[in-house]
Amino acid sequence: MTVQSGSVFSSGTIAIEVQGLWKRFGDKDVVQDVSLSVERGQVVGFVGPNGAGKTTTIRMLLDILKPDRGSVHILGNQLSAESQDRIGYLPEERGLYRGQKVTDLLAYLGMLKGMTKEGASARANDLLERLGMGEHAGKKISEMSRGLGQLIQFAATIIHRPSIIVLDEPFSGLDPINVRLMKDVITELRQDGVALLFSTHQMEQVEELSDKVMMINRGRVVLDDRLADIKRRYRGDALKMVVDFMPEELDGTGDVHRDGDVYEVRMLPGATPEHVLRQLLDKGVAVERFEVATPRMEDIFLMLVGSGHELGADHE
Amino acid sequence: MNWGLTMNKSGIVARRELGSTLGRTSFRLMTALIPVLGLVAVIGFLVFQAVRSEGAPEEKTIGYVDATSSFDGAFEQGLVTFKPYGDEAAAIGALLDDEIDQLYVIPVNYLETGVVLEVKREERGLSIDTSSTTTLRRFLVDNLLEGAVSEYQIERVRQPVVLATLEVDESGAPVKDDPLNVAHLAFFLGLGVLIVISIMTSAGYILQGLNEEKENRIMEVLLSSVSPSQLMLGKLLGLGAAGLIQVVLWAISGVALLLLLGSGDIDLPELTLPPPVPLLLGLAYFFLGYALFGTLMAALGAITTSQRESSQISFIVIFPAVAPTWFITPMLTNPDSTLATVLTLIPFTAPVTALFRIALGAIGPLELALSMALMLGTIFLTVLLTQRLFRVYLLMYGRRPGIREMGRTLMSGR
Repeated sequence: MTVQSGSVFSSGTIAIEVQGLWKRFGDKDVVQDVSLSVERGQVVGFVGPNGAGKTTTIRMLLDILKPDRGSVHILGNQLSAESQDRIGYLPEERGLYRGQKVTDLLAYLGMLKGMTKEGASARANDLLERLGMGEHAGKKISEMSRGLGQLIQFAATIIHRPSIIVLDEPFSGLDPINVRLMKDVITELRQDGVALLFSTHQMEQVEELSDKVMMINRGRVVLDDRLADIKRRYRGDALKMVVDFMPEELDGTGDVHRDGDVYEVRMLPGATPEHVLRQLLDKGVAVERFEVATPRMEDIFLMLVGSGHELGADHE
Repeated sequence: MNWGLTMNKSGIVARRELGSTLGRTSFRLMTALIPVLGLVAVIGFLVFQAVRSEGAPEEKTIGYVDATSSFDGAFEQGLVTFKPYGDEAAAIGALLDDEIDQLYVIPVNYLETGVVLEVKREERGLSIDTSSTTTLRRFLVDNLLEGAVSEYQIERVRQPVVLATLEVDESGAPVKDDPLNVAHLAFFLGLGVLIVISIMTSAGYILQGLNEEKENRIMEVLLSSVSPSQLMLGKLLGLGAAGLIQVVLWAISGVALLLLLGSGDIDLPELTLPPPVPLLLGLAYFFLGYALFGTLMAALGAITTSQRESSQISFIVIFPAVAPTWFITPMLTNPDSTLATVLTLIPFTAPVTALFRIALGAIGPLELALSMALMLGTIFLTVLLTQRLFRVYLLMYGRRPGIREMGRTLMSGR
């Protein structure tokens, strides 16, 4: 079985289009002029420090909170109760009715998204099988472990075959096997053309899954680009190389550090990797590996929002 | 707003709320407990009645010693026979031998003092008063007046007043005699009690349900599928239906218990439904009252952080609902008073007050229309404001908003 997305509103490629979103709580502008877009079949990592305005932005594009200004378009149409049904949402603060049976609960949440009772029940059983939880279908939620509860919540998020999925810290509390399982399902959904926006503090997950990254800080967008372009833009001035020896003099280079077989060489302003490589070859150095060191997302995050922020749970 | 979608989603929420509430052990226990307690009370009463009727012999002989020599007639007083004795020793002997049930001694100075001495066996344990002063009084009056005055005069001495009343309007003409139907009055008073009980139970479930959803963090999942107003409407309908089922079951068991009570020696008024117009008006106030107080409870559920906290402050809502019951006596004696009119026009006290006054036929069409219009307007406003509280505070965990903060939310709607 594959996890298919449902019918869509319009044939355009943009699934989520947010323009100039503002939200003020008391005398604090929590979200300021945030714009974002997510295409069909695209995974966008939504990152930022605690209190940056991520959850508030997500709640506004789900119509849970009303923006003070700005617009949200879902599948080409203005946000409405109908378009809400095309979105699947896994919030960070999540819970379930503990006294209810797993399939009954999934069927109920599916019906709230416009499914028939029979359709929702059948789909619930299919999803539980796909997630390896078929044996738990008739059990009560209170009998489930935290990890299984997480998977049930994920099943509830996609039960109605949404065209858009919003995930807030989707992997927290999951063991590596279930993290892999959920990533596989996310990949299937992306291949089926579902647009995914996921918020996380785990930068390695962002690098692994995202086509595009959007970072906000203090309610404002500080980064919004394709992952590859971000890495290119924030490419550092460091070179990493594995060579048989390191010449004493290399034009256009500064500090040299050695970590095992790998030399890290800092380039001086104006120098290019091509110029450094040419010098190495001209000096008869055997180059086994030569690369421009690409920054990790965590480095970029710290560079953009400062190192004073804790990468922990978000409480907005 | 897409009303079809709203009603559909509210209906789904309502069905779930109804199903889960009916399945709760606490709900079932509470539903069963009231009739069981009522049954125990009725059975206890019937047993007491039976024991009392067994203990009271239908025919009784009362002995007396008359030192005045004035009481020598009217021996038969209903089922009681008075038997004279010449001296106290013989009379006491008869009492001890159970020849007579009671013994009175009428002293020589009785006419001056009115004192009659009752001679009783020594009693151990609980003393139950079995003296027959009413019968004794009749025996004494009959003997004192027989032959001296007419039968009617004797009867008037026995019962000097049988009070009748005549009401006249402003022109002095008699008001049409329309005696109060006790059964109908009881019906409306019962409906008023049901309103109060409904508020305490159904609205209590709304509070409990919302707090549970906040505490177990499912609220955000729900709000990504339904709007706050759909959620609120669904809860009001579902939990209202659960509460209604509960009070209907209580009402049915109440009627059954009354019938059981009627099977004893209790005279009950004939059980009939009131005329259709007052009945419909009564039911209208019942539902309007539930809608108003249920919505207020939902608002409380939105702003409180735990079940404990919400039950502590729910008296704010319950207080105005039950307040009119404190004024039952003045309203029954003067249902057209300014107090009754004011309580009818205040939407929070209107449901119970209006029911009392409808029962008494003391509420005019203009006042009725104004009262209902004010209630509908207040319900509309309450729903609107509660939606705003829902939208902002349902996802606020662990912190109750302050008065000023809520004021800003209610004004801005964000």
